[in-house]
Amino acid sequence: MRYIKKYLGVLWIVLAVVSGYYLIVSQAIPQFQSEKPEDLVPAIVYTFVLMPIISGGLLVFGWYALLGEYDD
Amino acid sequence: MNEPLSVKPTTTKGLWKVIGASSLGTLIEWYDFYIFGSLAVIISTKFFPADNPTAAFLSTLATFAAGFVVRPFGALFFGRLGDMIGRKYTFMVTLLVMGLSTVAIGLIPEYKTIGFLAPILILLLRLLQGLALGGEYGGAATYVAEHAEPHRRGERTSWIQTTASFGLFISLAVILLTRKCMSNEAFMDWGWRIPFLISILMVIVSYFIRKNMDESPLFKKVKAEGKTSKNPLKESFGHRYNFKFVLLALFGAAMGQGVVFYTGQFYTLSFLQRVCHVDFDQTNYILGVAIFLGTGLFIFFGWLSDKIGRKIVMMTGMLLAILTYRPIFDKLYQLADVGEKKEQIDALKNTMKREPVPDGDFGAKERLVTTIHRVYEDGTQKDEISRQYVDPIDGHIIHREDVVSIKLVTKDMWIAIGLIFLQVLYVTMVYGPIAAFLVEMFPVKIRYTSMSLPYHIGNGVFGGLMPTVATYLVAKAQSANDAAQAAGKALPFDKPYLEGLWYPIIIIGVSFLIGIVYLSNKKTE
Repeated sequence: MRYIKKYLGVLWIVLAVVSGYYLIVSQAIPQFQSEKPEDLVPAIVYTFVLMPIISGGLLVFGWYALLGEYDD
Repeated sequence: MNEPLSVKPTTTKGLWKVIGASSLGTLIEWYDFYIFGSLAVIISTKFFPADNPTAAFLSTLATFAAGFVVRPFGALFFGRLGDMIGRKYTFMVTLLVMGLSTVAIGLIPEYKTIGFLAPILILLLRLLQGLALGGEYGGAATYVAEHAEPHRRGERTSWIQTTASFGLFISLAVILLTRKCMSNEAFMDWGWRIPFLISILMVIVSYFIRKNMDESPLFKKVKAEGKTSKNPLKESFGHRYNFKFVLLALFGAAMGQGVVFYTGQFYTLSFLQRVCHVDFDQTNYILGVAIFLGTGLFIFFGWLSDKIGRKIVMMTGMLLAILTYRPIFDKLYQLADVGEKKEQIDALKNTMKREPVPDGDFGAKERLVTTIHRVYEDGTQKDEISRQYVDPIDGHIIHREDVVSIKLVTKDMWIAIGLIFLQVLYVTMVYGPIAAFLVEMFPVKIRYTSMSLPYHIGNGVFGGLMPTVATYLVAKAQSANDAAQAAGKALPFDKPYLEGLWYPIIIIGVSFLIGIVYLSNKKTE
Protein backbone atom coordinates (compact mmCIF):
# COMPACT_ATOMS: atom_id res chain seq x y z
CA MET A 1 0.00 0.00 0.00
CA ARG A 2 2.88 2.33 0.78
CA TYR A 3 4.20 2.04 -2.79
CA ILE A 4 0.75 2.57 -4.27
CA LYS A 5 0.31 5.74 -2.20
CA LYS A 6 3.72 6.96 -3.25
CA TYR A 7 3.64 6.26 -6.97
CA LEU A 8 0.07 7.41 -7.45
CA GLY A 9 1.64 10.82 -6.81
CA VAL A 10 2.68 10.80 -10.47
CA LEU A 11 -0.98 10.45 -11.48
CA TRP A 12 -1.98 13.46 -9.35
CA ILE A 13 0.79 15.55 -10.89
CA VAL A 14 -0.37 14.56 -14.40
CA LEU A 15 -3.95 15.40 -13.43
CA ALA A 16 -2.76 18.79 -12.15
CA VAL A 17 -1.22 19.56 -15.55
CA VAL A 18 -4.31 18.30 -17.47
CA SER A 19 -6.73 20.31 -15.30
CA GLY A 20 -4.54 23.42 -15.67
CA TYR A 21 -4.53 22.99 -19.44
CA TYR A 22 -8.31 22.53 -19.50
CA LEU A 23 -9.00 25.57 -17.33
CA ILE A 24 -6.71 27.86 -19.31
CA VAL A 25 -7.06 26.62 -22.89
CA SER A 26 -10.71 25.48 -22.93
CA GLN A 27 -12.20 27.96 -20.50
CA ALA A 28 -10.08 31.07 -19.81
CA ILE A 29 -8.52 31.88 -23.22
CA PRO A 30 -11.81 31.77 -25.23
CA GLN A 31 -13.36 34.06 -22.62
CA PHE A 32 -10.38 36.46 -22.64
CA GLN A 33 -10.85 36.64 -26.44
CA SER A 34 -14.59 37.23 -26.18
CA GLU A 35 -15.93 40.68 -26.98
CA LYS A 36 -18.48 40.59 -24.16
CA PRO A 37 -17.17 42.51 -21.12
CA GLU A 38 -18.89 40.10 -18.68
CA ASP A 39 -16.76 37.19 -20.01
CA LEU A 40 -13.69 38.86 -18.52
CA VAL A 41 -14.78 37.98 -14.97
CA PRO A 42 -14.84 34.17 -15.39
CA ALA A 43 -11.63 34.35 -17.43
CA ILE A 44 -9.83 36.13 -14.56
CA VAL A 45 -11.36 33.79 -11.97
CA TYR A 46 -10.29 30.71 -13.96
CA THR A 47 -6.73 31.98 -14.40
CA PHE A 48 -5.94 33.57 -11.06
CA VAL A 49 -8.22 31.75 -8.61
CA LEU A 50 -9.31 28.33 -9.85
CA MET A 51 -6.14 27.29 -11.69
CA PRO A 52 -3.83 27.92 -8.70
CA ILE A 53 -6.26 26.21 -6.30
CA ILE A 54 -7.10 23.16 -8.41
CA SER A 55 -3.90 22.54 -10.37
CA GLY A 56 -1.55 23.98 -7.75
CA GLY A 57 -3.24 22.01 -4.98
CA LEU A 58 -3.16 18.73 -6.92
CA LEU A 59 0.47 19.34 -7.86
CA VAL A 60 1.54 19.81 -4.23
CA PHE A 61 -0.60 16.84 -3.16
CA GLY A 62 1.06 14.64 -5.79
CA TRP A 63 4.48 15.89 -4.77
CA TYR A 64 3.82 15.18 -1.08
CA ALA A 65 2.60 11.70 -2.03
CA LEU A 66 5.80 11.06 -4.00
CA LEU A 67 7.87 12.19 -1.01
CA GLY A 68 6.06 9.62 1.13
CA GLU A 69 4.27 12.18 3.35
CA TYR A 70 1.10 10.04 3.35
CA ASP A 71 2.83 6.71 4.03
CA ASP A 72 1.52 6.45 7.60
CA MET B 1 -3.21 13.96 15.17
CA ASN B 2 -5.83 15.61 17.35
CA GLU B 3 -6.08 15.80 21.10
CA PRO B 4 -9.05 14.43 23.09
CA LEU B 5 -12.13 16.32 22.09
CA SER B 6 -13.97 16.72 25.36
CA VAL B 7 -12.82 18.18 28.65
CA LYS B 8 -16.00 17.84 30.65
CA PRO B 9 -19.06 16.10 29.24
CA THR B 10 -21.88 18.50 28.38
CA THR B 11 -25.26 17.38 29.76
CA THR B 12 -27.73 15.92 27.26
CA LYS B 13 -30.03 18.93 27.70
CA GLY B 14 -27.14 21.33 27.26
CA LEU B 15 -25.97 19.45 24.19
CA TRP B 16 -29.37 19.69 22.52
CA LYS B 17 -29.34 23.44 23.17
CA VAL B 18 -25.92 23.63 21.51
CA ILE B 19 -27.10 21.56 18.53
CA GLY B 20 -30.36 23.51 18.25
CA ALA B 21 -28.73 26.95 18.42
CA SER B 22 -25.97 26.04 15.98
CA SER B 23 -28.23 24.27 13.49
CA LEU B 24 -30.88 26.99 13.49
CA GLY B 25 -28.33 29.69 12.72
CA THR B 26 -26.69 27.64 9.98
CA LEU B 27 -30.11 26.79 8.54
CA ILE B 28 -30.92 30.49 8.31
CA GLU B 29 -27.62 31.22 6.62
CA TRP B 30 -28.27 28.56 3.97
CA TYR B 31 -31.84 29.83 3.51
CA ASP B 32 -30.53 33.37 2.99
CA PHE B 33 -27.91 32.20 0.52
CA TYR B 34 -30.34 30.04 -1.51
CA ILE B 35 -33.21 32.48 -1.91
CA PHE B 36 -30.90 34.72 -3.92
CA GLY B 37 -30.09 31.76 -6.21
CA SER B 38 -33.70 30.59 -6.42
CA LEU B 39 -34.91 34.11 -7.32
CA ALA B 40 -31.92 34.86 -9.56
CA VAL B 41 -34.06 35.21 -12.69
CA ILE B 42 -36.32 37.82 -11.10
CA ILE B 43 -33.41 39.62 -9.44
CA SER B 44 -31.62 39.89 -12.77
CA THR B 45 -34.63 41.56 -14.40
CA LYS B 46 -34.96 44.03 -11.50
CA PHE B 47 -31.29 44.86 -10.97
CA PHE B 48 -29.25 43.59 -13.91
CA PRO B 49 -31.12 44.38 -17.15
CA ALA B 50 -29.90 42.06 -19.91
CA ASP B 51 -29.72 44.82 -22.53
CA ASN B 52 -27.22 46.77 -20.41
CA PRO B 53 -23.63 45.46 -20.71
CA THR B 54 -22.37 47.02 -17.45
CA ALA B 55 -25.24 45.51 -15.49
CA ALA B 56 -24.58 42.14 -17.13
CA PHE B 57 -20.92 42.48 -16.10
CA LEU B 58 -21.91 43.17 -12.48
CA SER B 59 -24.31 40.21 -12.58
CA THR B 60 -21.55 37.83 -13.69
CA LEU B 61 -19.28 39.27 -11.01
CA ALA B 62 -21.93 38.58 -8.36
CA THR B 63 -22.31 34.97 -9.51
CA PHE B 64 -18.63 34.12 -9.79
CA ALA B 65 -17.20 36.17 -6.96
CA ALA B 66 -19.72 35.07 -4.31
CA GLY B 67 -19.11 31.38 -4.93
CA PHE B 68 -15.51 31.04 -6.01
CA VAL B 69 -13.63 33.87 -4.33
CA VAL B 70 -15.51 35.20 -1.35
CA ARG B 71 -16.60 31.91 0.23
CA PRO B 72 -13.05 30.53 0.64
CA PHE B 73 -11.90 34.02 1.68
CA GLY B 74 -14.68 34.07 4.32
CA ALA B 75 -13.45 30.67 5.52
CA LEU B 76 -9.95 32.11 6.02
CA PHE B 77 -11.08 35.41 7.52
CA PHE B 78 -13.61 34.04 10.02
CA GLY B 79 -11.67 30.81 10.59
CA ARG B 80 -8.71 32.88 11.79
CA LEU B 81 -10.97 34.92 14.08
CA GLY B 82 -12.62 31.77 15.42
CA ASP B 83 -9.27 30.21 16.30
CA MET B 84 -8.02 33.40 17.93
CA ILE B 85 -11.00 34.88 19.79
CA GLY B 86 -13.49 32.02 19.95
CA ARG B 87 -16.08 30.03 18.03
CA LYS B 88 -19.17 31.53 19.60
CA TYR B 89 -18.48 35.20 18.90
CA THR B 90 -17.31 34.51 15.38
CA PHE B 91 -20.36 32.60 14.28
CA MET B 92 -22.60 35.23 15.84
CA VAL B 93 -20.93 37.80 13.62
CA THR B 94 -21.42 35.64 10.52
CA LEU B 95 -25.11 35.22 11.40
CA LEU B 96 -25.63 38.97 11.66
CA VAL B 97 -23.67 39.76 8.50
CA MET B 98 -25.70 37.23 6.52
CA GLY B 99 -29.07 38.23 7.98
CA LEU B 100 -28.63 41.96 7.56
CA SER B 101 -27.31 41.55 3.99
CA THR B 102 -30.33 39.44 3.10
CA VAL B 103 -32.84 41.91 4.49
CA ALA B 104 -31.04 44.77 2.75
CA ILE B 105 -31.35 42.94 -0.61
CA GLY B 106 -35.11 42.88 -0.05
CA LEU B 107 -35.15 46.64 0.54
CA ILE B 108 -33.03 47.97 -2.32
CA PRO B 109 -34.95 49.97 -4.96
CA GLU B 110 -34.84 48.63 -8.49
CA TYR B 111 -32.48 49.65 -11.31
CA LYS B 112 -35.21 51.72 -12.95
CA THR B 113 -35.50 53.79 -9.73
CA ILE B 114 -31.91 54.41 -8.64
CA GLY B 115 -29.90 53.32 -11.70
CA PHE B 116 -26.46 51.76 -11.33
CA LEU B 117 -26.42 52.12 -7.58
CA ALA B 118 -28.93 49.22 -7.48
CA PRO B 119 -26.75 46.50 -9.10
CA ILE B 120 -23.65 47.78 -7.25
CA LEU B 121 -25.42 47.50 -3.88
CA ILE B 122 -26.75 44.04 -4.77
CA LEU B 123 -23.26 42.93 -5.75
CA LEU B 124 -21.78 44.18 -2.46
CA LEU B 125 -24.51 42.51 -0.41
CA ARG B 126 -24.08 39.23 -2.31
CA LEU B 127 -20.36 39.35 -1.57
CA LEU B 128 -21.12 39.89 2.12
CA GLN B 129 -23.43 36.86 2.00
CA GLY B 130 -20.65 34.72 0.49
CA LEU B 131 -18.19 35.98 3.13
CA ALA B 132 -20.57 35.14 5.99
CA LEU B 133 -21.37 31.69 4.59
CA GLY B 134 -17.64 30.96 4.35
CA GLY B 135 -17.28 31.62 8.06
CA GLU B 136 -20.45 30.07 9.41
CA TYR B 137 -20.19 26.37 8.69
CA GLY B 138 -16.76 25.73 10.22
CA GLY B 139 -17.79 27.57 13.37
CA ALA B 140 -21.05 25.67 13.83
CA ALA B 141 -19.49 22.26 13.08
CA THR B 142 -16.53 22.89 15.38
CA TYR B 143 -18.75 24.27 18.15
CA VAL B 144 -21.03 21.20 18.15
CA ALA B 145 -18.16 18.71 17.80
CA GLU B 146 -16.29 20.26 20.72
CA HIS B 147 -19.37 19.83 22.94
CA ALA B 148 -20.26 16.32 21.73
CA GLU B 149 -19.41 12.97 23.34
CA PRO B 150 -16.48 11.53 21.34
CA HIS B 151 -18.30 8.29 20.46
CA ARG B 152 -21.34 10.17 19.08
CA ARG B 153 -19.58 12.99 17.25
CA GLY B 154 -20.79 11.88 13.80
CA GLU B 155 -24.41 11.72 14.93
CA ARG B 156 -24.30 15.04 16.80
CA THR B 157 -22.63 17.04 14.01
CA SER B 158 -24.93 15.51 11.38
CA TRP B 159 -27.64 17.89 12.62
CA ILE B 160 -25.52 20.71 11.23
CA GLN B 161 -25.32 18.76 7.97
CA THR B 162 -29.10 18.67 7.56
CA THR B 163 -29.22 22.46 7.41
CA ALA B 164 -27.75 22.85 3.92
CA SER B 165 -30.47 20.70 2.33
CA PHE B 166 -33.21 21.83 4.69
CA GLY B 167 -32.30 25.48 4.05
CA LEU B 168 -32.84 24.83 0.35
CA PHE B 169 -36.14 23.09 1.11
CA ILE B 170 -37.38 26.01 3.22
CA SER B 171 -36.30 28.54 0.61
CA LEU B 172 -38.25 26.63 -2.08
CA ALA B 173 -41.27 26.30 0.23
CA VAL B 174 -41.30 30.01 1.18
CA ILE B 175 -41.02 31.05 -2.47
CA LEU B 176 -43.81 28.65 -3.53
CA LEU B 177 -46.07 29.80 -0.67
CA THR B 178 -45.46 33.47 -1.44
CA ARG B 179 -46.28 32.84 -5.10
CA LYS B 180 -49.50 31.04 -4.15
CA CYS B 181 -50.61 33.90 -1.89
CA MET B 182 -50.65 36.53 -4.63
CA SER B 183 -51.00 37.01 -8.35
CA ASN B 184 -48.02 36.35 -10.59
CA GLU B 185 -47.88 40.09 -11.42
CA ALA B 186 -47.79 41.07 -7.72
CA PHE B 187 -45.06 38.51 -7.05
CA MET B 188 -42.97 39.79 -9.94
CA ASP B 189 -43.59 43.38 -8.89
CA TRP B 190 -42.95 43.31 -5.11
CA GLY B 191 -43.80 39.85 -3.71
CA TRP B 192 -40.30 38.46 -4.46
CA ARG B 193 -39.00 40.74 -1.66
CA ILE B 194 -40.97 38.88 1.05
CA PRO B 195 -38.65 35.81 1.28
CA PHE B 196 -35.73 38.21 1.84
CA LEU B 197 -37.52 40.34 4.42
CA ILE B 198 -38.84 37.50 6.61
CA SER B 199 -35.25 36.43 7.17
CA ILE B 200 -34.95 39.18 9.80
CA LEU B 201 -37.40 37.38 12.11
CA MET B 202 -35.38 34.16 11.97
CA VAL B 203 -32.10 36.00 12.45
CA ILE B 204 -33.34 37.85 15.56
CA VAL B 205 -34.56 34.59 17.15
CA SER B 206 -31.33 32.76 16.31
CA TYR B 207 -29.15 35.65 17.50
CA PHE B 208 -30.72 35.70 20.96
CA ILE B 209 -30.54 31.91 21.29
CA ARG B 210 -26.84 31.89 20.35
CA LYS B 211 -26.10 34.91 22.54
CA ASN B 212 -26.97 32.91 25.67
CA MET B 213 -24.74 29.95 24.80
CA ASP B 214 -21.32 29.31 26.35
CA GLU B 215 -18.06 29.17 24.46
CA SER B 216 -16.86 25.72 23.37
CA PRO B 217 -15.32 23.95 26.43
CA LEU B 218 -12.27 22.79 24.47
CA PHE B 219 -11.55 26.26 23.15
CA LYS B 220 -12.00 27.71 26.64
CA LYS B 221 -9.48 25.18 27.98
CA VAL B 222 -6.94 25.92 25.25
CA LYS B 223 -7.41 29.65 25.82
CA ALA B 224 -7.05 29.33 29.59
CA GLU B 225 -3.77 27.46 29.09
CA GLY B 226 -2.54 30.19 26.74
CA LYS B 227 -2.24 27.69 23.89
CA THR B 228 -4.35 29.43 21.25
CA SER B 229 -2.67 30.01 17.93
CA LYS B 230 -1.03 33.39 17.33
CA ASN B 231 -1.19 32.93 13.57
CA PRO B 232 -3.73 30.27 12.54
CA LEU B 233 -3.24 30.90 8.82
CA LYS B 234 0.50 30.26 9.01
CA GLU B 235 0.08 27.21 11.23
CA SER B 236 -2.68 25.77 9.01
CA PHE B 237 -1.16 26.33 5.59
CA GLY B 238 2.46 27.29 6.19
CA HIS B 239 3.54 24.10 7.96
CA ARG B 240 3.84 21.00 5.82
CA TYR B 241 2.61 18.66 8.56
CA ASN B 242 -0.80 20.36 8.73
CA PHE B 243 -1.00 21.47 5.11
CA LYS B 244 -0.75 17.91 3.81
CA PHE B 245 -3.89 17.07 5.81
CA VAL B 246 -5.66 20.15 4.43
CA LEU B 247 -4.91 18.86 0.90
CA LEU B 248 -6.00 15.34 1.82
CA ALA B 249 -9.26 16.63 3.32
CA LEU B 250 -9.88 18.64 0.16
CA PHE B 251 -9.08 16.08 -2.54
CA GLY B 252 -9.99 12.89 -0.67
CA ALA B 253 -13.34 14.01 0.74
CA ALA B 254 -14.58 17.61 0.40
CA MET B 255 -14.10 17.77 -3.39
CA GLY B 256 -16.21 14.65 -4.06
CA GLN B 257 -18.73 15.58 -1.38
CA GLY B 258 -19.20 19.08 -2.85
CA VAL B 259 -19.84 17.71 -6.34
CA VAL B 260 -22.26 15.01 -5.11
CA PHE B 261 -24.11 17.73 -3.19
CA TYR B 262 -24.35 20.14 -6.16
CA THR B 263 -25.24 17.42 -8.67
CA GLY B 264 -27.94 15.86 -6.52
CA GLN B 265 -29.71 19.11 -5.73
CA PHE B 266 -28.78 22.00 -8.02
CA TYR B 267 -27.82 20.32 -11.29
CA THR B 268 -30.90 18.09 -11.04
CA LEU B 269 -33.09 21.19 -10.70
CA SER B 270 -31.38 22.89 -13.63
CA PHE B 271 -31.52 19.65 -15.71
CA LEU B 272 -35.26 19.25 -15.14
CA GLN B 273 -35.98 22.91 -15.91
CA ARG B 274 -33.60 23.66 -18.77
CA VAL B 275 -32.96 20.31 -20.47
CA CYS B 276 -36.23 18.47 -19.79
CA HIS B 277 -38.34 21.70 -19.74
CA VAL B 278 -40.43 20.49 -16.80
CA ASP B 279 -42.76 23.14 -15.34
CA PHE B 280 -41.03 25.55 -12.88
CA ASP B 281 -43.36 24.97 -9.93
CA GLN B 282 -43.46 21.21 -10.51
CA THR B 283 -39.65 20.91 -10.49
CA ASN B 284 -39.46 22.86 -7.23
CA TYR B 285 -42.14 20.58 -5.78
CA ILE B 286 -40.34 17.41 -6.94
CA LEU B 287 -37.03 18.54 -5.47
CA GLY B 288 -38.66 19.82 -2.28
CA VAL B 289 -40.42 16.48 -1.59
CA ALA B 290 -37.26 14.45 -2.33
CA ILE B 291 -35.18 16.61 0.03
CA PHE B 292 -37.85 16.49 2.72
CA LEU B 293 -38.00 12.69 2.54
CA GLY B 294 -34.22 12.38 2.60
CA THR B 295 -33.32 14.86 5.35
CA GLY B 296 -33.54 12.34 8.20
CA LEU B 297 -30.89 10.21 6.51
CA PHE B 298 -28.19 12.80 7.34
CA ILE B 299 -28.65 11.82 10.98
CA PHE B 300 -28.71 8.10 10.15
CA PHE B 301 -25.43 8.21 8.21
CA GLY B 302 -23.81 10.46 10.81
CA TRP B 303 -24.78 7.85 13.41
CA LEU B 304 -23.62 4.97 11.18
CA SER B 305 -20.24 6.65 10.70
CA ASP B 306 -19.76 6.52 14.49
CA LYS B 307 -20.30 2.76 14.32
CA ILE B 308 -18.50 1.62 11.16
CA GLY B 309 -16.25 4.58 10.28
CA ARG B 310 -16.55 7.80 8.28
CA LYS B 311 -14.59 6.60 5.27
CA ILE B 312 -16.76 3.57 4.48
CA VAL B 313 -19.97 5.62 4.54
CA MET B 314 -18.63 8.51 2.48
CA MET B 315 -16.84 6.36 -0.10
CA THR B 316 -19.93 4.15 -0.60
CA GLY B 317 -21.96 7.29 -1.34
CA MET B 318 -19.40 8.45 -3.88
CA LEU B 319 -19.19 5.04 -5.57
CA LEU B 320 -22.98 4.75 -5.90
CA ALA B 321 -23.10 8.24 -7.41
CA ILE B 322 -20.43 7.41 -10.00
CA LEU B 323 -22.20 4.18 -11.01
CA THR B 324 -25.77 5.46 -11.21
CA TYR B 325 -25.73 9.10 -12.36
CA ARG B 326 -26.07 8.32 -16.07
CA PRO B 327 -29.02 5.90 -15.75
CA ILE B 328 -30.77 8.22 -13.28
CA PHE B 329 -30.49 11.31 -15.49
CA ASP B 330 -31.37 9.29 -18.60
CA LYS B 331 -34.59 8.11 -16.94
CA LEU B 332 -35.41 11.69 -15.85
CA TYR B 333 -35.01 12.80 -19.47
CA GLN B 334 -37.22 9.96 -20.75
CA LEU B 335 -40.02 10.92 -18.34
CA ALA B 336 -40.34 14.34 -19.94
CA ASP B 337 -39.54 13.31 -23.52
CA VAL B 338 -42.80 13.72 -25.43
CA GLY B 339 -41.17 12.66 -28.70
CA GLU B 340 -42.12 9.04 -28.03
CA LYS B 341 -45.60 9.82 -26.68
CA LYS B 342 -48.82 9.92 -28.70
CA GLU B 343 -50.62 13.25 -28.81
CA GLN B 344 -54.39 13.63 -28.32
CA ILE B 345 -55.13 15.75 -31.37
CA ASP B 346 -58.61 16.81 -30.19
CA ALA B 347 -57.10 18.32 -27.02
CA LEU B 348 -54.86 20.74 -28.93
CA LYS B 349 -55.51 24.39 -28.01
CA ASN B 350 -54.07 27.61 -29.43
CA THR B 351 -54.43 30.94 -27.66
CA MET B 352 -53.11 34.36 -28.52
CA LYS B 353 -53.27 37.53 -26.43
CA ARG B 354 -51.66 40.94 -26.12
CA GLU B 355 -50.44 42.01 -22.68
CA PRO B 356 -48.63 45.05 -21.26
CA VAL B 357 -44.90 44.85 -20.43
CA PRO B 358 -44.79 46.27 -16.88
CA ASP B 359 -41.02 46.84 -16.69
CA GLY B 360 -40.67 48.11 -20.24
CA ASP B 361 -38.21 45.32 -21.08
CA PHE B 362 -36.45 45.75 -24.45
CA GLY B 363 -38.12 49.17 -24.77
CA ALA B 364 -41.52 47.56 -25.45
CA LYS B 365 -44.85 48.54 -23.90
CA GLU B 366 -46.74 45.52 -25.17
CA ARG B 367 -46.04 41.90 -26.04
CA LEU B 368 -47.86 39.26 -28.04
CA VAL B 369 -48.16 35.94 -26.20
CA THR B 370 -49.00 32.79 -28.18
CA THR B 371 -49.59 29.50 -26.35
CA ILE B 372 -49.95 26.07 -27.94
CA HIS B 373 -51.28 23.59 -25.39
CA ARG B 374 -50.80 19.88 -26.14
CA VAL B 375 -51.98 16.84 -24.20
CA TYR B 376 -50.58 13.32 -24.64
CA GLU B 377 -52.35 9.98 -24.16
CA ASP B 378 -50.62 9.29 -20.82
CA GLY B 379 -51.80 12.71 -19.54
CA THR B 380 -48.51 14.62 -19.96
CA GLN B 381 -49.16 18.27 -20.90
CA LYS B 382 -46.93 20.54 -22.91
CA ASP B 383 -47.20 24.32 -23.37
CA GLU B 384 -45.20 26.04 -26.10
CA ILE B 385 -45.23 29.72 -25.21
CA SER B 386 -43.90 32.43 -27.51
CA ARG B 387 -43.56 36.02 -26.24
CA GLN B 388 -42.96 38.66 -28.90
CA TYR B 389 -42.09 42.17 -27.71
CA VAL B 390 -43.60 44.83 -29.96
CA ASP B 391 -41.91 48.12 -30.85
CA PRO B 392 -44.21 50.93 -29.59
CA ILE B 393 -43.43 53.15 -32.60
CA ASP B 394 -43.60 51.00 -35.72
CA GLY B 395 -45.05 47.74 -34.35
CA HIS B 396 -42.24 45.41 -35.46
CA ILE B 397 -41.00 42.60 -33.21
CA ILE B 398 -37.99 43.76 -31.14
CA HIS B 399 -37.38 40.58 -29.19
CA ARG B 400 -38.79 37.07 -29.04
CA GLU B 401 -38.70 34.48 -26.26
CA ASP B 402 -39.76 30.87 -26.71
CA VAL B 403 -40.48 28.79 -23.64
CA VAL B 404 -41.49 25.14 -23.41
CA SER B 405 -43.14 23.91 -20.21
CA ILE B 406 -43.97 20.24 -19.63
CA LYS B 407 -46.20 19.04 -16.81
CA LEU B 408 -45.64 15.42 -15.79
CA VAL B 409 -48.53 13.17 -14.77
CA THR B 410 -48.68 12.17 -11.09
CA LYS B 411 -47.13 8.72 -11.67
CA ASP B 412 -44.14 10.14 -13.57
CA MET B 413 -43.79 12.92 -11.02
CA TRP B 414 -43.39 10.31 -8.25
CA ILE B 415 -40.87 8.38 -10.34
CA ALA B 416 -38.91 11.66 -10.68
CA ILE B 417 -39.17 12.20 -6.92
CA GLY B 418 -37.83 8.67 -6.40
CA LEU B 419 -34.89 9.27 -8.76
CA ILE B 420 -33.99 12.52 -7.03
CA PHE B 421 -34.45 10.90 -3.64
CA LEU B 422 -31.76 8.40 -4.67
CA GLN B 423 -29.40 11.30 -5.33
CA VAL B 424 -30.34 12.92 -2.01
CA LEU B 425 -29.49 9.55 -0.43
CA TYR B 426 -25.96 9.81 -1.87
CA VAL B 427 -25.77 13.40 -0.62
CA THR B 428 -26.64 12.27 2.89
CA MET B 429 -24.02 9.49 2.77
CA VAL B 430 -21.16 11.79 1.82
CA TYR B 431 -22.38 14.87 3.68
CA GLY B 432 -23.73 13.38 6.93
CA PRO B 433 -20.35 12.33 8.39
CA ILE B 434 -18.12 15.03 6.88
CA ALA B 435 -18.26 17.60 9.70
CA ALA B 436 -17.03 15.01 12.22
CA PHE B 437 -14.48 13.78 9.67
CA LEU B 438 -13.02 17.28 9.13
CA VAL B 439 -13.07 18.23 12.81
CA GLU B 440 -11.14 15.08 13.72
CA MET B 441 -8.37 15.84 11.22
CA PHE B 442 -7.14 19.03 12.87
CA PRO B 443 -6.03 20.18 16.35
CA VAL B 444 -8.24 22.50 18.43
CA LYS B 445 -6.08 25.59 18.14
CA ILE B 446 -6.29 25.79 14.31
CA ARG B 447 -9.38 23.66 13.71
CA TYR B 448 -11.79 26.39 12.56
CA THR B 449 -9.33 27.70 9.94
CA SER B 450 -8.02 24.33 8.78
CA MET B 451 -11.39 22.64 8.25
CA SER B 452 -13.24 25.63 6.79
CA LEU B 453 -10.98 26.14 3.78
CA PRO B 454 -11.12 22.61 2.29
CA TYR B 455 -14.85 22.48 2.93
CA HIS B 456 -15.55 25.73 1.10
CA ILE B 457 -13.16 24.99 -1.75
CA GLY B 458 -14.76 21.55 -2.13
CA ASN B 459 -18.27 22.99 -2.17
CA GLY B 460 -17.82 26.51 -3.50
CA VAL B 461 -15.17 25.82 -6.15
CA PHE B 462 -15.60 22.20 -7.27
CA GLY B 463 -19.35 22.12 -6.58
CA GLY B 464 -19.87 25.67 -7.85
CA LEU B 465 -18.12 24.89 -11.15
CA MET B 466 -20.67 22.13 -11.84
CA PRO B 467 -23.26 24.19 -13.81
CA THR B 468 -20.66 26.05 -15.91
CA VAL B 469 -18.66 22.98 -16.91
CA ALA B 470 -21.70 20.71 -17.37
CA THR B 471 -23.44 23.29 -19.58
CA TYR B 472 -20.24 23.69 -21.61
CA LEU B 473 -19.95 19.90 -22.14
CA VAL B 474 -23.60 19.54 -23.16
CA ALA B 475 -23.36 22.50 -25.57
CA LYS B 476 -20.15 21.08 -27.07
CA ALA B 477 -21.73 17.66 -27.62
CA GLN B 478 -24.84 19.24 -29.11
CA SER B 479 -22.85 21.38 -31.56
CA ALA B 480 -20.77 18.33 -32.58
CA ASN B 481 -24.04 16.48 -33.30
CA ASP B 482 -25.43 19.47 -35.23
CA ALA B 483 -22.26 19.70 -37.33
CA ALA B 484 -22.32 15.95 -38.07
CA GLN B 485 -25.98 16.11 -39.01
CA ALA B 486 -25.35 19.04 -41.37
CA ALA B 487 -22.52 17.09 -42.99
CA GLY B 488 -24.68 13.96 -43.31
CA LYS B 489 -22.41 11.94 -40.99
CA ALA B 490 -23.28 9.65 -38.08
CA LEU B 491 -23.93 11.52 -34.81
CA PRO B 492 -20.91 11.32 -32.47
CA PHE B 493 -23.04 11.53 -29.31
CA ASP B 494 -25.98 9.21 -28.76
CA LYS B 495 -27.29 11.18 -25.77
CA PRO B 496 -25.72 14.66 -25.74
CA TYR B 497 -27.87 15.73 -22.78
CA LEU B 498 -25.91 13.31 -20.57
CA GLU B 499 -22.47 14.63 -21.52
CA GLY B 500 -22.48 17.20 -18.68
CA LEU B 501 -22.35 14.30 -16.22
CA TRP B 502 -18.73 13.56 -17.10
CA TYR B 503 -17.72 16.44 -14.84
CA PRO B 504 -19.22 14.97 -11.63
CA ILE B 505 -18.29 11.42 -12.60
CA ILE B 506 -14.60 12.31 -13.13
CA ILE B 507 -14.28 14.63 -10.11
CA ILE B 508 -16.04 12.20 -7.76
CA GLY B 509 -13.99 9.36 -9.27
CA VAL B 510 -10.72 11.15 -8.47
CA SER B 511 -11.91 11.99 -4.95
CA PHE B 512 -13.04 8.38 -4.43
CA LEU B 513 -9.66 7.00 -5.52
CA ILE B 514 -7.74 9.43 -3.29
CA GLY B 515 -10.08 8.73 -0.38
CA ILE B 516 -9.85 4.95 -0.74
CA VAL B 517 -6.06 4.93 -0.97
CA TYR B 518 -5.02 7.68 1.46
CA LEU B 519 -7.74 8.04 4.12
CA SER B 520 -7.99 5.83 7.16
CA ASN B 521 -11.38 4.57 8.27
CA LYS B 522 -11.47 6.45 11.55
CA LYS B 523 -14.12 5.45 14.05
CA THR B 524 -14.76 7.39 17.20
CA GLU B 525 -12.63 6.25 20.09
